Amino acid sequence: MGRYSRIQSVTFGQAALPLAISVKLSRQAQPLPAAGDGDAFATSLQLGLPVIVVEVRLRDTAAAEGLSLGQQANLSFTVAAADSASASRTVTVSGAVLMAVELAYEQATLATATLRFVAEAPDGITDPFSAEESQ
Amino acid sequence: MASTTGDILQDMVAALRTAGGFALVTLGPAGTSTAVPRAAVLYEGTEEFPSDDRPAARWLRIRAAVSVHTRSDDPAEGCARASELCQAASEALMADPYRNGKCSDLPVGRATELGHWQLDESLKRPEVEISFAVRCHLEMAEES
Repeated sequence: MGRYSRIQSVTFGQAALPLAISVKLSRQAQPLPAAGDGDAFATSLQLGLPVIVVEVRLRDTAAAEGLSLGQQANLSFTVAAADSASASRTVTVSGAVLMAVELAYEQATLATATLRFVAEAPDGITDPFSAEESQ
Repeated sequence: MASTTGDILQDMVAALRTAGGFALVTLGPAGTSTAVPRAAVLYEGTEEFPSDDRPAARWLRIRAAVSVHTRSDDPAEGCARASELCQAASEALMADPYRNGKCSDLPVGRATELGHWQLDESLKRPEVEISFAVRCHLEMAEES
């Protein structure tokens, strides 16, 4: 059916990232507009190199505290299908580099950690992003 | 789940007994008892929420009310006495908000939360009763 509703697990290399609240993954390329003299709007558009950014929010701040900036590993998460007939889906971002850790401790609510990763393709060709049905 | 709810309600009864000021503490209405001062823990229901950080868990909110009943011919004195008892009951309940390890602070609410005190104005002198809501929150693993 293609609907997914529950994050079952998130791992970064060997490290589990428990109590995940959300995972946001963006694959984005900057537009490079071009136009001739006197044109008011772009007449051609090219895209810059795509950048894959993943943001993971979780409540297990202790797990986040154990990570180091610059650490690189495969980031993988599995989301369960919204119905019993469909399979879970596992998304993997290989070569993810941890670039930011934000820890928020609040008085009236539970503490949260936000981790941001950027993917790196060592050979410059292989797409770090892959997704498949879980076994 | 039923036994967990029962355990939490029993823990509240035990906590109220430690407050020391009550001649009688009951789980459910006190029935025909005329002992005063007395307190009763009244179960009102359970609400269920999906966990937003563990896929195989549910969050429960157990709603109860604690009523504190006393008696005095002087309305002002009766109200003051009931207020003192309510304060003692509140402090006893919040001495261990985690209800002996069964409850926890969750995004849907603190382990134990107390509501406002409400005077039962329908009672006739010398009876005085003040009640307040109690909400307990806990996480339950999904039953397979």
